[in-house]
Amino acid sequence: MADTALLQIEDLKIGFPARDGGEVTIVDGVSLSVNHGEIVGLVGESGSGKSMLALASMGLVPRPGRITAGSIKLLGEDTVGLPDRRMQDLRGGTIGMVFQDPMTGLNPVRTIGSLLSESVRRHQRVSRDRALEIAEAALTSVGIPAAHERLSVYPHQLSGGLRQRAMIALALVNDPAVIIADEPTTALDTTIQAQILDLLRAKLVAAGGILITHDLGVAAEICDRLAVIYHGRLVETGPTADLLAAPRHPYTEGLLRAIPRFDRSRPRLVPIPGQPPAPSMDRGACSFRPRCDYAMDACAKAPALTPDGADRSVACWAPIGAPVLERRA
Amino acid sequence: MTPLLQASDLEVRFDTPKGILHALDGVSIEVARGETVGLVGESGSGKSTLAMTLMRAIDPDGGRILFDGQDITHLKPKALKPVRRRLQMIFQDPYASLDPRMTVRRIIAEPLKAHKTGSRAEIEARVAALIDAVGLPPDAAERLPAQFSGGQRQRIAIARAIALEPNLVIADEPVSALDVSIQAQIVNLLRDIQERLGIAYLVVAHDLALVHQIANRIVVMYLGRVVEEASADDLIDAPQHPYTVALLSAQPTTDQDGRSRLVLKGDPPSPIDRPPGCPFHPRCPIARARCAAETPPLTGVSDGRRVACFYPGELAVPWDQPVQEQRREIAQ
Repeated sequence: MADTALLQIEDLKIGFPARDGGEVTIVDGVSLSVNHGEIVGLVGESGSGKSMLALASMGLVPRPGRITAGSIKLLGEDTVGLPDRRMQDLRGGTIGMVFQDPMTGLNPVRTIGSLLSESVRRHQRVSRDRALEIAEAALTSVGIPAAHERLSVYPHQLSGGLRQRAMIALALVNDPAVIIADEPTTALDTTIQAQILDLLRAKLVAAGGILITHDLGVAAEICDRLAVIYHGRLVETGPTADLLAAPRHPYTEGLLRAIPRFDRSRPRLVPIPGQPPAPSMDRGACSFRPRCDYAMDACAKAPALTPDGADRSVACWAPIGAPVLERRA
Repeated sequence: MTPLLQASDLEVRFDTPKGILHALDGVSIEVARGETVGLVGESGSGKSTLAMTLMRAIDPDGGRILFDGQDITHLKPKALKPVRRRLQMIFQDPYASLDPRMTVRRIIAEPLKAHKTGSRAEIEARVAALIDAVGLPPDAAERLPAQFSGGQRQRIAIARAIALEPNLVIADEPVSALDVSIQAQIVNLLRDIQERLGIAYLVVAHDLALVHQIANRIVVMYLGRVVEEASADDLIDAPQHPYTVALLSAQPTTDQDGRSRLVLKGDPPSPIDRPPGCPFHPRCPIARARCAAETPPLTGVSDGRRVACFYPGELAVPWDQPVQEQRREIAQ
């Protein structure tokens, strides 16, 4: 375990210009850190801001969006506001990224070998031949058979599972300190997903990683810690097993109750009522309040993410299981 | 009683530049009145092709489809119209399946008008009742699909599908495009509608836990063939086909029960370049010489259970293995 976090995001805010001339906050004061040998799962639904957080970590917030506050420290260096040139050095070198769709993450008109070797040569002073050797070794390390022959194929010539492996190889080829994987298995079939999760687990713990997913089951499979994001804010964090066994935030509890399990009695699923909020929804009150079974008067003011016992935090005025006299409004 | 839907030995082949794609290779499936059959498989398994073929959107190259005893395999569009009324479909993508220029009222009224179910006022009342039945607000009628979220759009699609009170609704991945918190809303809605109207469902999905939640029976497909069929509980408790075992064990779950996973090697083969013998044998942990030479037929193993494997039940789900870290990779 390193003393300092590999990646430390602090009080990060990301905004986009709104039609009325103001600014819509997409990510609102998120703090998250990744230590060596640790996989952190960032779990949220569409529009929660989870992918924007991933892009921000890579210095890739799409314009006209911008980081309005906070810092992102990569090996201690704040990357917010870094010149593009320096960020390009870090990207693919110190920090690697795996996207959901390998067809968008891999340039379709380049061979696998040229994609990987170019990345190697951008970050390491090696010859072209040596770069290809490193590329081949990276393909082998992610379980791609006949790696040497695969150097000369194009991404579309690979199956979905192999393409995703190739993208993981691209993310890993320069031994990054941190790897960010955004919905890396969402487009894959179940049996292929299992293969890729095993691979990611092995590779991410060798460095440090963030797995971004909408699927709590996927997060549970490989993450050490989870952070649940809702409406651009973290609502709950904690060690995976603890958080799943005893969720403290009503939203986390709601997600767990909404997922079907293999249960002969088929208990009726308990949906979370209503819809996930639009990013532009007012942030004065707790964002989950309109959908929350336990909402009470205090929820008119947004609760901060507060430490809650060992290793855990929750943003709720009356966390589940907390000794509160009256939970219901 | 005859089954509501009875398809036998369906064959579908597509001519592609790379060769013949054998999408369905002798598939038989039945759906009884009021029951829910789940159809699971991965990409290339033929599950969506089967759904489209049963809807008569794809003409089969062989086999037969009986709907309520009537052979509809080769019915012309005009003769098919009364059947369509009783057989409806829900699609995966609620963004693509609704005409963006039509109000919700027109979308839901369309099948009612096409089948001349009543006067204008009657149709109007029926649309209002349907909007209410699927849990949309009354003012939804005058709005356009773009004004709704994904989950609400799927409610609109469901209202349209049940407008004519069909006997069977085929739903192709009805919730997989929706957020987790919304999926359960739609699953519960489908169940409520079934209880009220006695509609039978054929639900095509890749998520085995979801299918188990709503289906009475589950049919598992692999590379254009049915490899296993059983009651939903039997399939989950004691899968007989090694592919079903793999699928079940690969399902990500939040139940950290310490089970190990059986991870299959390799990708599913291409339906264009099918392996000889059992289509699963190149990835099967228990395959033997016979499996590469002969194709196992789908055979009844017990009451209501069918499996296409020479060694059914031999591979067990690794449920009770102690440590999660002990995941095994089983060699080919």
